[in-house]
Formats: sequence, structure tokens, C-alpha cells
Amino acid sequence: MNWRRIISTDHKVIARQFLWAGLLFLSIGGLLAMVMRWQWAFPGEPVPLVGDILFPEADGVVTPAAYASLFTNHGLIMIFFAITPLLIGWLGNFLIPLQIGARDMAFPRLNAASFWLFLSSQLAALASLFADAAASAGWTMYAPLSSGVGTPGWGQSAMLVAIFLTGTASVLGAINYITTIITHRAIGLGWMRLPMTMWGVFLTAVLTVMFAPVLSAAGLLLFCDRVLGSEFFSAQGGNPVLYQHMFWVFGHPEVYILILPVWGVIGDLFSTFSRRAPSFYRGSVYAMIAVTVLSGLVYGHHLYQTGLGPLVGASFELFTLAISVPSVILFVNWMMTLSGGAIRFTTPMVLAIGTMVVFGLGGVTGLHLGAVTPDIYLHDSLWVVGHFHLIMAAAAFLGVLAALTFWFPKMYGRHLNEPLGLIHAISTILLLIATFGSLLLAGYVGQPRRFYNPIEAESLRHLGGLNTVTSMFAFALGTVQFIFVFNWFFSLARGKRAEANPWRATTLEWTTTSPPPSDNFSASLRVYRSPHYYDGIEPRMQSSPPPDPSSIPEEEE
Amino acid sequence: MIERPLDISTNGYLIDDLITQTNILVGILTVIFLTWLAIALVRGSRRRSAEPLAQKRWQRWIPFAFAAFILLVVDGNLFVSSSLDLHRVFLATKDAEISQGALRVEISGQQWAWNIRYAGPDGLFATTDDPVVTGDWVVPIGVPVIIQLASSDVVHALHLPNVRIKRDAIPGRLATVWFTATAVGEFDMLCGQFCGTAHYRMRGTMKVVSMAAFERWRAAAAADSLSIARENERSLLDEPGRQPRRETWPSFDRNRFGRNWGWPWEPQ
Repeated sequence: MNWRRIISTDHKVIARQFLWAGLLFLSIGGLLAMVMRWQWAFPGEPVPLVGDILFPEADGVVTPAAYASLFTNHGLIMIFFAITPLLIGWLGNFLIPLQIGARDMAFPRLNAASFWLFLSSQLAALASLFADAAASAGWTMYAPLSSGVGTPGWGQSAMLVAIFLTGTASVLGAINYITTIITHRAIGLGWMRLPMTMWGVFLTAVLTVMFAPVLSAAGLLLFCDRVLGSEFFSAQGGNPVLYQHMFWVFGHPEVYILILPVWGVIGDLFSTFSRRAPSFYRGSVYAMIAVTVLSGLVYGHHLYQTGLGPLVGASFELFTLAISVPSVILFVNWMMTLSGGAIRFTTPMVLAIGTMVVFGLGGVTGLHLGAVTPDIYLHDSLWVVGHFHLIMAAAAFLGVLAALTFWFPKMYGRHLNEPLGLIHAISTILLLIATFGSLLLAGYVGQPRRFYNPIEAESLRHLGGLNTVTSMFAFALGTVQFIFVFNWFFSLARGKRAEANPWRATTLEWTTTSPPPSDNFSASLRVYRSPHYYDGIEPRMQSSPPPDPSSIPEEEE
Repeated sequence: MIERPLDISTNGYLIDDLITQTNILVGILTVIFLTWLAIALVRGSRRRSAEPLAQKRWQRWIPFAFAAFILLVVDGNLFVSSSLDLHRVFLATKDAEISQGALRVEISGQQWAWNIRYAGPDGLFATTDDPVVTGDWVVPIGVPVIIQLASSDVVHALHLPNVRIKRDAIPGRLATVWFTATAVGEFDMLCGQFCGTAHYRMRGTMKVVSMAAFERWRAAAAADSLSIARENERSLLDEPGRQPRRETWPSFDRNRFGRNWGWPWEPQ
């Protein structure tokens, strides 16, 4: 056992550490979701298989208190301890030096520290699940419910510690990403020649640095209220709505943090598998920058029902609706890249197309929520849950899968099985649309969220069938993921060997071996062109010199 | 089954119609994009080599054309309608209050029940003849019902689906919402913001009756309140000249019921 490798500062090793940590917690979060969906399909029935292990005192039945913990920890785990390490920890760490032609990140030891800090945050979160009362005030943890009176015990406090640690780890990582992309690009790799994935990861890191500290601050103040008896968010001496403002100042940019890298990956994969440069590359880059800037100005739409003054509400509404514009431009650019391309339906490509479709569906359902009066009806209903699951659980998740299947050969030097990959991809996409589309429908006809027994009120009783069908889709979705798990482990051991550039792509990571050597490239690179330059269907690598050497302009770097 | 809850309010249609309009507009966009995608993928699967980008000049305007449609038509409709409706209707509680026969009600949420208080025959709140009920309350048809909303512990939300009301009840704050019912019947009252383990059954029933039936009910309930108070030989609820309050007590306190609500109402 090579102990030095475990505390390695090599970005590729750290990336794989984030990958495994993220996949583990993705499974835990998924299991929590399956139990929740059981309770929604069959309220009060004992949960099969895991019920007796999870809820022994209740004979395997989900109790109201357990249900509150389930949806709370499902949300916290999926957002902070699953998608973040996969989409940002793994993707950013693995790809940044490789796609910009660098040997490693700017701060390799800080990079390692960021992972180990993150791992300790995961352990704190895991520990909190074993308290008598785990965190149970929703992933949003609104005060005063999340105070020491509303949610007593050390479980919620331990989760706040976990959030503080993970926020710090994210900021450290983001500092590394930003610095590396600014300072370590190969000669000739100007900003407008970066692969879209790099833009996505860069802008995500910028948002993380600006807004994750706000979450840490809110969590710290709440922790003080719980443990030290302060009254920042209490109704008497403090202000509960202050918590909501602080949380959502982070919370809204957070959802863009979780989607920007996906947008980048879609762009790069569409170009690779249509053999076509991105349509209106500049427009896409500026659109992503515009979203980044606007993301901090829209958060108040989460507070529409708290009694905001009309001017404040209208201001947030204006920006919230406006942020749909850059998203549309991105979307149309993807469509225009595809139309006219020579398309190859590989697993990553199918996943990327699915990502775009579910992102579109999720995005348009956000418009209803972005205006104040429709939100009166839709707030706290399953429409909200369907909307954000389409964007996060569907688009971000499919984006992670697209990235994993695309860069698996580069990482491990082996291929995933294509037929299994396609079966998994198509069934996952369809089941994601079915499951979360059903949530949208249920919310549209009035099903509130976060109800232990969703149909206890007589006026909701007729929705029992819809809730059960939704759960069936969800169970199928969970089951189908085992195809991916099998494919993953089987291919690690016995996958076909991969060459340097199996997808015939053009970006810098494909010029080196699969897997890359420890310092990534055998010689220092020079970049001569934009990414995704194809001659017919032949790739022109970014780093291969043009045939006529005298045409290379004198570049300043 | 695929229907929104029955709307028996005078103004709920504003919300419902705006949602429907948005559904239609984004539905059209969805069909356009899915069709475009299907065609692009089918054609793309047959191509041996990609076509050059943006061959014709007008094609460069396509992203901006879609962006303009979303911004001006879809977002514009949402922003303008929502702003006008808020200003003219949903936030216009003063206009509702001065309407003929408007009824004022105070509602306070707690973990896990709704407490509703009316002014008694004396027309004043926080006096001994106030009808106070938990969960099941009665309103008259056809007049504005103006609700002053509070909470005694955590953030709840008053959710009356059949009159399209949803507003957070935040401890330490007062909120005002209003509606006018257009049909008699019994309708749900739910909690619309997660407030703890029994959030799902923090419920009640709002009964809409004729004005005459409402007056009879209120008179009987007020007489009940008075007789209970006389039995206790205390009139803790009498606080003449009470000033508006913005603070509430830390937890629900039976004996100081009156302090959980705020401002003085004019006598009706």
C-alpha cells in the first residue's frame, strides 16, 4: 500500500479521491430518496429491505420525525456532499491542468488540504445522521425551526459544522482553480480559446469564492444561536428573515455553481460529437459570464412569500426573469451547433443531449416561480421540487455522467462498455423526465411539499395515485443506476485499453497518454487555435502547429 | 384529476390565468425546440461531415430572436401582469378594508395548529367577547375577509388553496392578506412552510356561509366567550387603549392570548 499516494498532491489523484467520496455520498443520498418515495407512495407502511435497519423502534415504518430527517439530509447530502465533489472537486481537479496544458494546479498542497478538509466535512455530516435527532429542519434550515428550541440536540449542530467545513474546503479549492486558470495556461491559450468546460469551472470557482463564505457565516451564526445562546435569528432579539436572506444570498448562486460546469461540458461534448466548432462561442461565454453576474442579484425570489415590500419584490423579479435571457442564448447556441453537425451517438453524447433537454424543461418551469403572483400558488408545492430536481438531479446529474463517461478513458486508460452505457443513458434520461415531470404535475394540481403524509387532507386524497406512480418511476430510476455501477467496476478491471485520443477530440488533454504521466505532458505545449477545429471530421488538435509555420503570428503571452 | 383546486375567490383567476398563459407560451417553445432537436439529430446521424457554421447572415440573429421572445413576451407578460395584480389587488388591503361589510380576522399559527380570533359584537379585538377558535373557522360569502397573520414560534405559512392565499407567518412580524369568497362550502386550511414534525397535519377548515348564518354563528360564539370569561371571573383579554406591538412572546402563552397579535382595529 503506497501511503504517500494517499496524501498525494497530484491533481489527478486528488480528483479521483473527490470522485469516490462523491459517488459514495451520491449513493447514500439516493437511498434516502428511495425511502422518502416509499413513504409518499405507501404512507405508514413499513419500508422493505432497509426499514428494520433504519427505523428499528418504529418496526420499519417512517415516523414524522424520521421523515423530516430524510428530506433534510437527502438535500444536504446531494448538494454539498455528492454533486459538489463530483462536478467541481473531481471535474475541476482532473481537467484544469490537463485542458490548459499545465503540470499541476497552482497550489498542489492547498489542493490536497482542500480534499482532506472536505472529507472531514463528510464525516461530520455522516456523524450527524447517528444523533438521536439528526438535522431535520429542511436543507434550508430556516430559523427559528433550526434553532436549539426548534431542533434540539447535537445532530443539527454537527451538520452545521459539516457545512462550515465544506464551505471552507470549497473556497480553498476555488482559489486554486481561479489562480491556475489565470496563471498556468499554455502559451497561445488565450481566454477565448479555452474549452467551454474551463469557462464553466472558472466561473463556478468565482461564484464559490464570493458566496460560499456567506453560507459559512449564516451557518456559524445559527450555530452560535444553538450552542452559545445568541439571538441572531430569534423572533425576540433578532430577525428570522435575516437568516433567509443570508442563506439565499448563497443559495441562489449555489444552484448556478452546480450548473455552470455542466453547461461547459455540454458545449465541449456537442462540438466533439458533431465534429463542429461551437456556434457563437463568444455569445456562450458572455452568456455564462452574464449568468454569473446576475446570479447574486436574484436571490430574493426565494423570499417572495415573506412579505417583501413591492419594490424589493419587483427588483428581484426583474433580475430573476432577465436571467432567462443568457440561458436561452446558451441553449440556442447548443442547438445551432448540433444542426448541421455530423453526429455520433456515443454514450457521452447521448447523455449530453439528455442534459440539455432536461435543463430546458427545468428552466422553463422556473419562469412561473420567478414571478411574484404565480409563486403565491406554486410556492412550497411539488412544482418547486420538480423544477429544481430537473435542474439539479437531472441536468447536473446527467452532466456529471456525461463527463464521467467522456473522460473515463483518459483517467483510467480503459473504455467503459458502450452498449451498457447507452442503455443506462437512455433509460436514465427517460426516467428522470418521468419522475420529475410527475412532480411538476402534482405540484401544478396543488400537492404541497415536505408533507409526511401527502394525502392526509381529504382535498388531496385524489393525488395518491399520482404520488404512487411517481414513486414507481423513482424506484425504476434508482434500479437502473446499477447498470452504471456494474459498467464502472467491470470496466475498471476488464475494460478495453484506451489510446491517447479515443474520441478523436481536439483539446489538450487528448494529446497525452491515457492515463497521463504524473507531470501530464511529455513536453511543454503551445496552442495554435480555438478548441473544436475540425477539417471535415478530422480533428485539428489545439496544440498541433499549422502546416505553414510562417502563418503563426507573434503572440504576446 | 389534472385540475387545480377549485378557486372560489374573486381574484384567484389572476394567478391561474397567468400560470396558464405562461404554460402555453413555454409549451409552444418546448414543441419548437424538441422538433428542431429531432430533425437535427436525424439529419446529423446521416451526415458524413459537418457543415460550416452560420452560413447565412440572418442565422446569426436566431439566438437573439429567441432571447427577445422570452424576454419581451414571456417574461414581459409575467412581470407586467404580476406587478399590476400585486399593486391593484393583492397588496391593496386598504381598499379591501374600507369595503362595505369587510370582515377583519386575526390568525396566529403555532406548532401545530391555527388560532383564529374575531372581534366580538363590541367591534374591538382583545376584549372578552372575542370568538376564538382553533382550526375550524367561519367566514361570510361575498365580502372581503382581511387577515392579520402572526406566528408564536417558528415560521409557518397560511395556505388557503381555494382562495389562492399563501403567506408566511413569521414570529415577531405581522402580515396582512385578504380575499373575497364567491361560493359557500368547506375548504382546506393548510400550513405552507415546513414547521416541524406535524407540519403535514397543521390543518383546519374554513367554512363559507351566508352573511346571516355568519352573524348567527358569531353571536353564539361571542356569547360562549363571555360566559367562559364570567366563569373565570377574570377579564384578562380586556386591554383598553392597547398600543400596537411588533414583538411577540417566545412561546404560545394561554393566559396572554391577546399579546400574540398587533395593531388596534377601528370599531366596526
